[in-house]
Amino acid sequence: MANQKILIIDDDPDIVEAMRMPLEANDYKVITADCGKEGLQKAREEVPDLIILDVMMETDTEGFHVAYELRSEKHDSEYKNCRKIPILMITAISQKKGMSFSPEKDDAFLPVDNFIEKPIQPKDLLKMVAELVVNKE
Amino acid sequence: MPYNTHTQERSSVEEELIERALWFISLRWITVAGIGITSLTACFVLNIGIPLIPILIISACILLLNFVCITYHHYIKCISYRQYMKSHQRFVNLQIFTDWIALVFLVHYTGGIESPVIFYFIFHVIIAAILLSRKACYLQTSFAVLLIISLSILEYANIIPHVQIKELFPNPIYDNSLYLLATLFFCITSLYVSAYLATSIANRIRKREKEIIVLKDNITDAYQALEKKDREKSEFTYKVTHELRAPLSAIQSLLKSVEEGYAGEVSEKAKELIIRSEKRTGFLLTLVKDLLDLVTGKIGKPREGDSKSVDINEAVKCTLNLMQEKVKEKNIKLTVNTTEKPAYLKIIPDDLDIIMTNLIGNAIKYTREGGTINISNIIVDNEIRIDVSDTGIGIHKDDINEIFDQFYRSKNAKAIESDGTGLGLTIVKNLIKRYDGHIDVQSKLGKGTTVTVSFPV
Repeated sequence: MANQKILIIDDDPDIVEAMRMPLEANDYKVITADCGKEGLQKAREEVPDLIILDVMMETDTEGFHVAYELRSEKHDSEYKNCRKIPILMITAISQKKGMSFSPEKDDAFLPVDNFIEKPIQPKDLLKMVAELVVNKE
Repeated sequence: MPYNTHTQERSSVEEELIERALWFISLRWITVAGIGITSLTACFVLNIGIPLIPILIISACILLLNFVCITYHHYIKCISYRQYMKSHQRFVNLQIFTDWIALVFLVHYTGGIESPVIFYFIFHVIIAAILLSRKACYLQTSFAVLLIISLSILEYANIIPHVQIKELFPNPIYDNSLYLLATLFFCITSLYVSAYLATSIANRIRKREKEIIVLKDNITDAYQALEKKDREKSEFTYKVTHELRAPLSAIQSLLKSVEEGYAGEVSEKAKELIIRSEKRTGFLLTLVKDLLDLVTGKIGKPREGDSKSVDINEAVKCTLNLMQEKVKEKNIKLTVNTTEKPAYLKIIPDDLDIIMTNLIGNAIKYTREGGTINISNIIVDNEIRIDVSDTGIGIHKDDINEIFDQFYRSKNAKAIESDGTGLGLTIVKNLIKRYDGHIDVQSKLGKGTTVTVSFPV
């Protein structure tokens, strides 16, 4: 298995660093972007194996927009090649993300594969990353 | 904001005026009925020779007038509220005015100055005092006095014929000038004294009413100002805690990576120190999380659309799933009684999550190894009730009223669990209040605690 490429989109360099260390120690190749726009561009160019995406960047919901953009079903979407990339979303503590026990699917439904809450626990991160990458394979 | 409340209060006074106008109109129905019954009784039972036809015609006129009044009242009220208020005084004045005329005719046909009906003039003086200003009341009284004087003089001078009720006054005394003067004197003075007394009392009551309204305005204003301040304070707390969240998360994440050796080898001592630091930042993060939840509950009613139908049974299951490890760790016996059918509640799912996590979390935290926790959901009397009872350490009866206070932690709680912000139950109570729900705690020290939460459905 070649080094899998992981794109981290987060504007907090310390959080990026805290994730980069354990990921690189486990032979993942890490590329980073510090805003949604740069993130989308890198996703399209590099087509990583996994995207780790923060919700709050310049705006409180920038991450949501990035996720919708990447998963867009539009036939002329710029990010057609990114539709299948798994997304792991980073949420802050106590951030509303809609609970799974609500039977109503609604706008709050997010096209992402899993959530990880800040502060990042390296063990949890590595476990989730491994699962998502394997699933993709 | 104050402007709004003033107009609102003024309209409540206006409502009162409308009520009184209606009251006056309904009194008139009773009066007509009274005149009819009295005159018929006088005529046919007591065999008093009163001119029945003119009296009944007068009654019919009053009846007709009252129909016009009530129609006008509803009509103008429908057209415009302002218009009604503007014409209200004129409307009442006109009604009293026509009543006087009807009354003076009634007096004339029942014996003029000799008629006992003459006492009824006092009623309208009192009504005028209640419904009109002091000046208008005196004007109306003067008009009545003028009518009485005119009637008696016209009859005295034989310009209009005097109706003699022989059964009451076998000998006419209307033409006795001394009797006439005396009766007029006492009649007029009683009317003016009544006007004085009634307006004095009415004015006093009106003054009080105004004072009460001003007082109510002041209290409402002060309350709103306080509410605004409280909201601002909550928003400030929200912003501050929000700002604290990102750096704390970053510190904690970095510490964790260092601790686990991803930044190079760490000595045993360094590792121990890092773990201690992590524990402290961990506490700060919990505090930040609790403060954010607390402030959310204080921000007010949830917006329409944010709430969803949530099955309480599923929510309990979800929360327990996340806490399974701790339950196993402490070897706690757990029983869950759910309703047969899904029990749907309209709530923001995250709010319910916070409530359930706090309640079940507390039960687990304060129950000793091998204890029992019982969770049951029931639907009774239009409410969903969730009971969480444990055989834990319990709450001292002196503490039970304080447990909902911010940052309060009882001694025995601190003894069993040193960490804790003391905000959990405050958060829960605030959130439950958001949905007009209710929380009740029953506890016996050393025996256990039962928390009952109910939501209207």
